[in-house]
Amino acid sequence: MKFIYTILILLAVTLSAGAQGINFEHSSLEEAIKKAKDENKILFIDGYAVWCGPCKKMASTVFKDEEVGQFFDEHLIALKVDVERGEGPMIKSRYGITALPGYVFIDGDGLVVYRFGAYMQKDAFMKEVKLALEYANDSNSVGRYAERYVTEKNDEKFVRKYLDILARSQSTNYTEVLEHYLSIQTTMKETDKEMVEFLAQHYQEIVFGGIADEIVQRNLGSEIWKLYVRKDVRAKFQKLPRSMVEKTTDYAILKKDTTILDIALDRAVEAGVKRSDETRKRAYTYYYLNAGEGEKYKAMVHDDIVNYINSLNIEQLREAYLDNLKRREEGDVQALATRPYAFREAQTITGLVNSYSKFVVSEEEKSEVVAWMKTAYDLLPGDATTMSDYANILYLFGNDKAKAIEIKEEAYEIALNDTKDHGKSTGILADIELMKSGEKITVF
Amino acid sequence: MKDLKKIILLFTVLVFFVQGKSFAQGIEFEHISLEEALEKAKAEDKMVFIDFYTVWCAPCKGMTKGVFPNEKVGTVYNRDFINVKLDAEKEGREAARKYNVHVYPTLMFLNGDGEMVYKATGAKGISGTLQMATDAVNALSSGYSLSDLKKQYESGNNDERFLKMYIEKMIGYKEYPVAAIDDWLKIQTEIKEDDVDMMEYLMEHFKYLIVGGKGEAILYANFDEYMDIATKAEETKLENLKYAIVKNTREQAYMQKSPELMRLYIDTWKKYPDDKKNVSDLKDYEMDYLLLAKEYDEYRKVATVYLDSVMNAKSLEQIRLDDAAYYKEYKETRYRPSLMGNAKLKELEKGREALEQTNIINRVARYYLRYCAEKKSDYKQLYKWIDYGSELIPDDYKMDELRSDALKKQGKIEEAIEYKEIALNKIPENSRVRSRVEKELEDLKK
Repeated sequence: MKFIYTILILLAVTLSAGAQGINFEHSSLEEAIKKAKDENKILFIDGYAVWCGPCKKMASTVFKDEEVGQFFDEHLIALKVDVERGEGPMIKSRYGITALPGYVFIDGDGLVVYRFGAYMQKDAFMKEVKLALEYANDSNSVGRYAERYVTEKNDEKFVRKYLDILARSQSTNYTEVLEHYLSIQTTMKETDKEMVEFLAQHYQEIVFGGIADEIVQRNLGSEIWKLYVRKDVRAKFQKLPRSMVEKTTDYAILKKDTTILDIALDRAVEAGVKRSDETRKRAYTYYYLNAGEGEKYKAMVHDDIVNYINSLNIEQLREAYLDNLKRREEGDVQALATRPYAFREAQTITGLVNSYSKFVVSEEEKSEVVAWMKTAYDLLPGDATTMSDYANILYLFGNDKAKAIEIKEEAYEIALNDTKDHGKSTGILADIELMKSGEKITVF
Repeated sequence: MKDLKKIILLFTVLVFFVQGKSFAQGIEFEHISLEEALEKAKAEDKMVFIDFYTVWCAPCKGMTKGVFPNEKVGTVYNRDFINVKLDAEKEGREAARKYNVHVYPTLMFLNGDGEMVYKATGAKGISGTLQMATDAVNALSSGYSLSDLKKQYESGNNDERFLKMYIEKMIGYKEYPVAAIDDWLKIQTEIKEDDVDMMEYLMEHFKYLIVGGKGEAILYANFDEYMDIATKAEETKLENLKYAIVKNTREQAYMQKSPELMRLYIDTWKKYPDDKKNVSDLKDYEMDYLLLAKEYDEYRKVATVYLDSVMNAKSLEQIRLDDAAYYKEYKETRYRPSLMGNAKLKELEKGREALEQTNIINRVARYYLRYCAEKKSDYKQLYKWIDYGSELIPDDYKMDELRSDALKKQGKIEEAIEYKEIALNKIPENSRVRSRVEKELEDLKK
């Protein structure tokens, strides 16, 4: 077993050294920032996940390109970050990586200069990279403005410039700056074309109950706004109702304020969402989970999880799954086209357990989540993903870490033989390394 | 393993028991005719609830299993309605025709005089079914039952507010208030025609606009302004709206059985600027026009020329060769195993062109039989086509059925039964046409 890993790692090292393209650092974030400062360069972070297809496509095409590699050697320090492991989750939340692949540019002071994302062709990618370098050099970086904002927030012109840069650098979570600006600005009237376009530009930051919301409510659909709400601006206002529900929920979490969440719920009803205890409960569950209110979260979902798992007919689901496997091997086309229910149930359990595990404290809770996850494990014998997920929970909360590693290694073997791997094996291997060195792993 | 079987058995028994028990408390459907149900409803001052279903309709089965046996549903429906189930292809055929039922399930509420009060289509859940009962009762008591509304509209009520309400109600009932929308657009004072609200109204009601209507006129007159407002997605929608208007005209021609609309459709479609349009389809619509206009002599001539040309275009051997080659090419390069993929492959096994020709003969010859077959020579012509069609795909049932229907019209009942039976034997067990053919065979034997 060990032998195989050594070969794999050796192989990986030789490959990356031999290939021309971006040379990614093998260091911590802190070291990478220091290196950037010392060499007077900008740090490029490639946030990826092992299961993310576009990330892999980027890594095997654009990042391998010789020209791209040369440009990066000259101007940038590059760091690859698995957003689900090690420092990854921290980096993801600190620098606001919301979609994958997500690219962030950071200057020597650790301040964000620019960010963008998604798979793209070389030319489009390089255009964005050069833009990032341009922004880094003209002292108008988002990070610098964020620092200045603390002392200059009453300078209307400055805040407007800051907002422009926030939008330009595709920043998120700046609702407060937007609302603050609207409360002090004196240049735009509500009925001005400029106001309509300004709100459209920042529509993703508009929350229920704020000044922007009031302006939109008062004017959307009025004769004068109809003149300006056209084409792309109109497209943004069409997205607004939904965006506001999501944004306000996130804003409530950020502010740790359930009254904001209640406003979001009420307004969602006005926008056509059915009012029900179910919806309310779902929103609160999401809120407690993300606001880190563990005790309330657990109290809200514990019984539901128990009831849900008890309602499953494990044996029957497993038999159907095994039967499907057997028929697939025989080449039964109908079996190939159906996905046994056991998958859906196991996924649901994994999701519930992974969220719950963030707040597990007592011994009783530990053995409870292990038992829950065991149900998923029992549903899909031989399924690499579920085995790996079970091993994670066992490693974090069980008494037998060796057993966890054993199951994880078994899952790895199975994943290796899976033709539709989707990066599963790479992820499992990375986890095994962490487990063996006794480090913490993260579940999602 | 043995234990598992026991558990499964126990589980099945349990399910059966639970269902059996709850069934008794669900809707009690009466085994009486619609006429009897109406009489009973009148006497008890209730409405009749009809579940129009067919044996092959899966959502219908879903309601029968999951909704009608529900206790709450049962309590409400047994209290307020006389409940009947009608197989739209068997005992409910006449009623389905009378109330224009084409979609299954159709859930309909009639008053004691047989007037439609409320209807809904498609399967509903338990809460949806309860809501339906409330809506039906409300529609009756508010005086806005479906038939009341229609009567009011047909008696010429063209008050702006009434029309608007009527339109939205009809759309809710899945009706096509094409004329009412036209009436409303002509008189409405609510929305300026170049306004974004009108653009949205037209896009929302795209299904109900036809060639020559007010909606079309407004669209073309304000198209540039709308395009100046539209988002990227809406630009495409507006372009598609022009196309939808033409296509709707055709659909309305069939729905209203209107030769004028069909003529309008064909003429517009000929001029429509689109290279993708399939001109050969126009031939079918020209023939449908003749049927709608009841120009049967003309249809006889056109159909004869058409089917003769189909027959003589290619030899049977050539068709077989071409079809086999196409099948091979499809299976090797394009086929992907999936439910749809498998079904398509199975179809192609019969032969692509052979199937296409069978369908053409079946469609054209069937109308020929219904409207044109009178003299002996007409039948001779017809059987010539059927003979040819029977050779195309010998194990397809359609030609045998057609032959049976022709024989029946000629009064040769014995032979008609014989061919109906042959047809039935060729129809797979799980096919949705089976129950219809079974019923027809039964009727023949009477």
